[in-house]
Amino acid sequence: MILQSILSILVLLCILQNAQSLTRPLVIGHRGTAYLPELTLSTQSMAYAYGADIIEIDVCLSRDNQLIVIHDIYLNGVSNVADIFPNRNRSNGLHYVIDFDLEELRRLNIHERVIPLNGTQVFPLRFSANANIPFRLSTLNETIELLLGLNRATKRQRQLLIEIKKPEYHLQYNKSISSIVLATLNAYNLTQSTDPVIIQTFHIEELIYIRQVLQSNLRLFALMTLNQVNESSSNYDYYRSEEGIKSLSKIVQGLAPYYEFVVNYDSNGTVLGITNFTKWAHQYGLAVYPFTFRQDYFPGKNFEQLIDFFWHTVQVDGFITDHPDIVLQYLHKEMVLPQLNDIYQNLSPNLCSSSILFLFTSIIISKIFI
Amino acid sequence: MYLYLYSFAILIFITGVESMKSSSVVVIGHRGASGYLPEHTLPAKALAYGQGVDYLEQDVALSKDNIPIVIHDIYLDEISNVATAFRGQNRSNGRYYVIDFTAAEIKTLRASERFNHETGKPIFSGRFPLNQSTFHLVTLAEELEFIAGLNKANIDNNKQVGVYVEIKEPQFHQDENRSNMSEIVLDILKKYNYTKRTDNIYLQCFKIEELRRIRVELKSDLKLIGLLTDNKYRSEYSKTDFKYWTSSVGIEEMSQFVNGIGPHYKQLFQENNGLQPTELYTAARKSNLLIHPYTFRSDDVQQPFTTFDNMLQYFINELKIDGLFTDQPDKAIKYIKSKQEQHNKGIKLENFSFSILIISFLLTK
Repeated sequence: MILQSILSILVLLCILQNAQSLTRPLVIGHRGTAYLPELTLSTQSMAYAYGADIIEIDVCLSRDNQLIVIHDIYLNGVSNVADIFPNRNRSNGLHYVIDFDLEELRRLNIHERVIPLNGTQVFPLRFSANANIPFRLSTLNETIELLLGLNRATKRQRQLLIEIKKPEYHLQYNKSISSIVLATLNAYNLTQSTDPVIIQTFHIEELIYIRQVLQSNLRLFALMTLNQVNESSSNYDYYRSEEGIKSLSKIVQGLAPYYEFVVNYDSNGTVLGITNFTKWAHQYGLAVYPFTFRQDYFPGKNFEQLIDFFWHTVQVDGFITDHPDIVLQYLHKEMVLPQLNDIYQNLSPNLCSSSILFLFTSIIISKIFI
Repeated sequence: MYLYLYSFAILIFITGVESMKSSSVVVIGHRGASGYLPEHTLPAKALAYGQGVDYLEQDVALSKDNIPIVIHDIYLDEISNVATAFRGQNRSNGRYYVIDFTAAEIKTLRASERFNHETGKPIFSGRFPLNQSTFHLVTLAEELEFIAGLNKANIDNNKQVGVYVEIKEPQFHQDENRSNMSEIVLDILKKYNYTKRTDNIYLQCFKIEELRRIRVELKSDLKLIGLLTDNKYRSEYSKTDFKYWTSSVGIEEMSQFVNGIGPHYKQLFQENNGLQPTELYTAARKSNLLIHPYTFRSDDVQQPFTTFDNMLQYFINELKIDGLFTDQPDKAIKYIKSKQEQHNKGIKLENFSFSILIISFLLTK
């Protein structure tokens, strides 16, 4: 009797000690992963292997209206375009995606990111930018097919988060990039909020256009950053206010803010506290996914502490990260459910016999002492 | 009372010893994570790397300009669009040979999931769909550079993946006047610092005589693995007598120049009052050879095994193989990890029970 109660208290204490969370925030592989050149099919496959719930990609238009999976509107940060097309740059020295046809872009070799016109690797400890490997640009079609094919082969349902780059810039060339994206997704029957694709962009008015004029049912996220970066004409000071967030809640399902919008920092990078951003977002039914968590470039001294802070204090709904493996490893370590799953679903003869022996020993002892 | 204590002490001890024997089997991504992405493409290798393999496998065959291409067959027509891209450039038997095309031409092809070149149907129906997305074939040098780059980017994660190179059909290549195929491959391996037995590499081949040549004439120090099959399944170009090389005498001779064997898994057991190891298995163990069987596919589990896990259980926990080739590395690794965790939990409970027993023993004295 006493023994039984002691045993049950011990078990309960074990569970309580580990009871941090039963669920975890989503993990979004930013441009794939940090370990291979961004946005290549290889790095997206790696993000898939690491268990990222969502893979994030960016799209820009080529001259012949093909959707190219690339982060910048120019090619010099990630390709050898200056060697292949030496005279096709603009006066600022850069080669713009929109000045090339898909067939020309296919001839380029992609590499790890460097500072354009300079050649220095942006993240020096990552994959070498000088490696002689035939990485190539891919189209949105190829990226969608990779994800859907992997989902089929692995029997999983991972998702694609597609960022539409600079809609206002594309409009100057009389191209409605959002319409082309929606038409592409439509061809794969990806149209509903239950489908495994999400669209995001920095230009808030473009999101309103996609929802109300193009009448899309897809899930939308609003990207937000500092006004001074001049990413778009949207006024993020307004959109990050309570009123702005409330107005967004009628259009989008989630917010993807620059992480400084959700916390307060001092000049040393120490986190002082949280802003009201997440509180307001949750109040109006919006999820929050700040960018970007990089293990080789983050504020503070301890990456795991940073993740933990955003998880439990800021209470974000997901992490946009270059290192989905590291973030997931940490989240799994802190959860109680995987450990319980382990014990109860994978019982082996050895574990059984060990447990039985333990119980027998306890019973014997109780018989000795009682 | 003491009888109970003694008998339980013995029981705990026996179970404890049993739990001590854990396995340290290496997982080799067979053609990458080919269960999920087209074989031998960089995304398939990236997927396998992310899933946690210990080794990535590269089959190599020579192109017309003598560049080793990472490809399983000496043909191009079951894993690419060569039949449309280079229509008519097949041989009289209807097949398109790697050795008839330059590396530059091969790199323009679209690689795909494996299909039957006569029917056009995929070999494994549940895998990556045909004609979706865009993949390419790469050279051995490009893949070695890829792996070196990944290993460098993962130094802080303590994650280093080795290479496992197969020289394909040396007899065929010799008939095509490329008797120096092994020299060409060894040269490239040397460029990427793969020369010694302590380097993170295995070199494998079905032509056992070629492995002897590599060890004795070419004086290579690399770890060599003798691939084995049955004579009725060997390539039409092969003259190797596997009946001899799978016998005790053959294994003993092979052990003089190889470090291990790579048999088909069916060659390791026989059904005889349950499952028993074969003469091949016993001979390999006797000669201290590593055993790395192929291929463990979760979408092709055959009799007498009913699930992938019970197949893995037999080879890993009963036969205690040293490594395995698998198309689904994530599943193999998940099995191994869950066994490892149970083993650790078992040990903890063992120690706890044992110490309680000792304490109570001392207290009652």
